[in-house]
Amino acid sequence: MVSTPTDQSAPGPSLELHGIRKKFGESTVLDGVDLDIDCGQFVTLLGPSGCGKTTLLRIIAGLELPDAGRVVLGGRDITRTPAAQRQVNTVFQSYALFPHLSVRENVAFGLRSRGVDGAEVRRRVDAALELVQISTLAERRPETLSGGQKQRAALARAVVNEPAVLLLDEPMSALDAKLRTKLQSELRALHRRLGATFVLVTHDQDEAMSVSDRVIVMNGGRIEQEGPPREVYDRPRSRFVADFVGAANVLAVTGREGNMLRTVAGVIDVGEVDGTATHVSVRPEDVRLHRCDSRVLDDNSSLGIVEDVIFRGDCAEVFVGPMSLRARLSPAEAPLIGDRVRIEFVNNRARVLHG
Amino acid sequence: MAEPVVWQGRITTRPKLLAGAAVLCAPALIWLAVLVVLPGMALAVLCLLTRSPQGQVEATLTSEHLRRALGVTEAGFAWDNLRILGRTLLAAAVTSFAAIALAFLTALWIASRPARWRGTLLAMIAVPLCTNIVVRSYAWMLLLGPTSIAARVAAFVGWIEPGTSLYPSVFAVYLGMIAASLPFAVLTIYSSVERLDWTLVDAAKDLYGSRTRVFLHGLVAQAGPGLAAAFVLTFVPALGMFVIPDLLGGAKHWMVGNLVQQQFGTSRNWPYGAALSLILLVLTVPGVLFLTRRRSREGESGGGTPRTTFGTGAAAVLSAVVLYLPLSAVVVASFFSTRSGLSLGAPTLAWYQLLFRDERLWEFVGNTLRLAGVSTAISTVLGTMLAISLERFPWAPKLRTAADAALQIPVVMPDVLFAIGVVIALGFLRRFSELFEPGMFSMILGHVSFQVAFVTLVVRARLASVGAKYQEAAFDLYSSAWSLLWRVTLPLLAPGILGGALLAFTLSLDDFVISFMTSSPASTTLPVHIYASVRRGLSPELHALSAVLLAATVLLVLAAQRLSRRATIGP
Repeated sequence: MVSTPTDQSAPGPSLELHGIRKKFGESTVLDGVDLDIDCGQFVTLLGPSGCGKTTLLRIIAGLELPDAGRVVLGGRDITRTPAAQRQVNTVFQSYALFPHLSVRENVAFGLRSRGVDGAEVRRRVDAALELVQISTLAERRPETLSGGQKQRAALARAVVNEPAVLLLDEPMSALDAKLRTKLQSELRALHRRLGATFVLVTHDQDEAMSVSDRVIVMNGGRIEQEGPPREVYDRPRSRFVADFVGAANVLAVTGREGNMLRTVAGVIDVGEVDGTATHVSVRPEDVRLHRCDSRVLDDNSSLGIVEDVIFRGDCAEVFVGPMSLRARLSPAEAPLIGDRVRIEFVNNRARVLHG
Repeated sequence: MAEPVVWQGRITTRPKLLAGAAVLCAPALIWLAVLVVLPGMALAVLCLLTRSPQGQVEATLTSEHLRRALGVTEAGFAWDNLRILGRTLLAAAVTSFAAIALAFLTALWIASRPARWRGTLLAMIAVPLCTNIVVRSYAWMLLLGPTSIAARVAAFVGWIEPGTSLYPSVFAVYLGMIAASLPFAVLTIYSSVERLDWTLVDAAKDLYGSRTRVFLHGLVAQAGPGLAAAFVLTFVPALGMFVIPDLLGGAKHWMVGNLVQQQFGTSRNWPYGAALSLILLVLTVPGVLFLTRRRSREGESGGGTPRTTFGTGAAAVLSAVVLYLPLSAVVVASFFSTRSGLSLGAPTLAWYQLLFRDERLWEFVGNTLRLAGVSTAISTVLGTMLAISLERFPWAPKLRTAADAALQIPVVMPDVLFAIGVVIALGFLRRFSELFEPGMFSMILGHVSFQVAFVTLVVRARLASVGAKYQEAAFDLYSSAWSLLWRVTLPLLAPGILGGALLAFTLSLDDFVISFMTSSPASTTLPVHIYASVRRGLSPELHALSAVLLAATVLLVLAAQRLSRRATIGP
């Protein structure tokens, strides 16, 4: 039977990573990663290709050995424990469903490996199939399934074993956008239902934001920033995070006047400022454009010319030159190409960056 | 305590991994070492030893045999051997070239047929390939005999005297060799033609005017490397052919293969035979090196729709005639009452009745099947173990490429050289036990050493395509190593293992050369029996027997085709 939602008073195993280092040949893939994940959290490792997130996931799974560091699950050091003995299961990027077994047999695989008896296997497999809504596909072979169905089957195969930690390696990268959105919300619901710890790896920041309790942004083998999705989005601490999580206009600081920073796109009020600010990050949705014909303005505003407008259905992206500014407006407010516009920033939404 | 490593989902140590790999690959490697590698190396020593008047090998060093092989005698230069060598090289080169040209066009034609026909067409190419060389060769004797249509036309035209046959002659030998090389050439070239990018042909048409240039720049340029490889795969085995020159060329058209076979057979002059073999070996080395250096470009299929101009249809017809006319002649002759003479006579099943009543024949059938069964069982087990050890263990890259190269050698090498190796090894082992006298046991040893490489290649291809990801998934799902083998690896490998076994079985059923040189009267197999019969003279019972074998081959090929269609439970 699948577990009931987390009982807050019974602490489950928490996952800790201490000082994980890994080199493949000459290149350092993980450069001292420390991470604490509480039981029952949904954590996403977010980053570009090559940042080490998949390697970190595989180290947690037991499919890679770190060169240095420890993996601790529920207080037990499992760094050298074989994958087959860890209470950790993986949903692979390519699903890796055994092609010679039916969906039911696939899902039952882990239970049979551990010698669970027949009736119990049947009960738990049925429950898992029900949970991911593929009960009707139980006797089918993997090659007859669609991408979304395979993903659910892979998910069922993993969760039926009630692992302490469920690992998902870019599980939705092969699916189309609509299916992805649907499955993301189902994944979230599944997590709430099971209460296990989920660790997801993805390079898609939309995905990271929509499913996780915590986003961990990685770059070059290190953790750049981590926190709840809202925090990482609203308060990026570095240029990389600002640029990777959501779109950002990163403007160089050219001068300072009290609490205002002067940039090529105008003057921005950022509240408290310290002397080391080098850049300011402004989200496109925090930029306002006003059609303006006069050539002279007050000192704090800037003028620009609309270079391109891209209509994206629910919004319009406007590119303003010569400062390469990106603004997101509702389609009704969008100016035309060639219009002269005055740039305005919504106060207190800009973030100061230090490189 | 050794450093732990992770390999395909399992935490283990390097020494343990290597030990596992060693256990898996040891049986096959030892077998091959004793029966193939060491004898090969022994050739260099053997050619320098002396032959006693009774035909034994004595441990005195002499360069007499080497000199004789190269034509150097006290009385001056002897051209005989060199003439034979030259004749062999010429024949191999010309027939390979012709076979490749015809095969290329035929493969193009097949590739441009609708997809559902291609399997059947390729199966039709495979049937002659799986028929033994003796039947395929003597079929030409029937077609070119004194009473055949071909001979009568040639006499009419004035080529030959009326009443004589078109064989033995260079023409017959070349014809036979082309026909023998054609099926394998087609299948080899087809695998690269399959992946051709036909959009390049369209581009060439767009840029050039003439059809010749489109053909050259659009098709040949792309297929070039594949054609070169196919040429080598045809040329090298052709160097060692001796059945065809023997049956269709006679003593005046002997090739190196005949000379070599004679020394290890009736002439009992092993040192001289070793010297000749060395020369033959040297001739094959460049080809083998070329093949093993080639990196096969996997994946990348081309696009576009295949076109059928450039006379490919005609080539396909010609191929069909070359491959099936002789065999059809044999089958037809088996149903008619004439023994010789101008007319066919009345239709009859008499020859088949004779066949089924011939007890000796059933004994030969039994020998052939027993030999094939046992050797297939052994080589499948050894080959599968070897394939798993090569694919699933972390060998150093250099070692792996060396192993890859080594495995391809039995596929390329002339049969006769392979058989010589086995004969030498058995000759040596005979000193220790009577078990290694010519007979069923020796034949099994010989067949297995030939089959192992093929099984390994087939199983390895399947292993590679299945990939290691299922292994990781299985370990992630708490599987033990043993459980992984039984529940995942072997089931997924099954189509490959079955395919390898089928290939090995066919190779054994067909084999003439190794069987011929290692058999005793009590262990005669069908191909050996057919050869002996042919030498005594063609007879309709022989044709009936060949027709039955042909039917069995067709069934086997169809079965294999059905199996391979079901085996598309790819990853």
